[in-house]
Amino acid sequence: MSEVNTPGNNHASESTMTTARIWRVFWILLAITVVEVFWGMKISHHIPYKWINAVFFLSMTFVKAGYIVAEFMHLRYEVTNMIRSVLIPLVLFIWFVVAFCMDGDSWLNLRSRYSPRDVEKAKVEAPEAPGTLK
Amino acid sequence: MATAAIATEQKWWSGGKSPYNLSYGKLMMWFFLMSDAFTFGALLISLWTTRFSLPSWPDPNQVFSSFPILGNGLPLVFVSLMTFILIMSSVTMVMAVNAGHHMDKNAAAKWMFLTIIGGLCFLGCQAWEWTHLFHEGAWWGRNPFPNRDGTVAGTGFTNYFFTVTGFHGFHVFSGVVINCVILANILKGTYDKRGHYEMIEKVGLYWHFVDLVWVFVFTCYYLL
Repeated sequence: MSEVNTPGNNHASESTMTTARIWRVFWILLAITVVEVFWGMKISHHIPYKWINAVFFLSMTFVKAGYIVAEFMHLRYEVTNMIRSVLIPLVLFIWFVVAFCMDGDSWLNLRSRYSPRDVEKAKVEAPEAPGTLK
Repeated sequence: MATAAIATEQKWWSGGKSPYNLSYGKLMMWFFLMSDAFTFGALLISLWTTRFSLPSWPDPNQVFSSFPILGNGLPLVFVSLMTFILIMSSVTMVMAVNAGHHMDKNAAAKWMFLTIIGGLCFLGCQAWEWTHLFHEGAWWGRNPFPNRDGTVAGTGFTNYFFTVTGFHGFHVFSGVVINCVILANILKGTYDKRGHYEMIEKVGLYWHFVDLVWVFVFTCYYLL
């Protein structure tokens, strides 16, 4: 018997989304944001290596993104192959980010080696900017 | 056809049944969001490429340190408020979807209205931020803020800021407009007549995507 899937037949979304769960995810997102901002304001300046900050912020961001996509957008409760259809193409981002950051880094090296004018321009001291923290 | 023998097997792709148990509209919204994710991803990754290619970059704690009325000296506070507003509006959107599942017209209208208010508040905040930065001399092609190491900065910082937040703000604006249309339809009773409130789910997906993009923009621009 052919079962045409009309909207509203999707019972998976109805029983799993409760008000309590929604608010729980909200508090988690809020807590993570507060921790991130606190880190950005107070802690990040005292970290010896920049990549530690980057790893922290990016992992927190991915946790938040995961909660929004899985719970708010309900992806966790969809058919498994549907979840894969959405997530697997996003793996391309890994190559995307690595390749272009390496590209940028290579430009920096090329500039510093072959473009002394750019190197000199980058050393010009700036006057005091308007409205910034002293 | 040996349907009796394979009665318990799911035949997803043989027709007569929507694959993935999703309606066409919802699946297409997911695929659109994936394409939009790559568009925003391209913008943010090009931002990172530029940052990696330069010896220094302005310090966001210095640039984004003002708050309406309260003035300067409050690094990242305003943008944290914006993030909170958008996350709140995502929560109200989920509540609207939830109300739609229970065919509760009034609750769905209420939560959708709150989501629209949240979106408008976010746009207002972004407008204030843009105006404030503009008055400090920032715009496409103009960057008054020095690099972290004290040197003169190029215009990449402001170019990317206004482009990325402008593109995102445009998405928020179009989301608000769409949400208004959906709210009008909820109040008219269109979804009661249709028998389901799935349209709220579909625009909900778009709205959560907008929130998701902001989470990444917030990290790339203000934290890192």
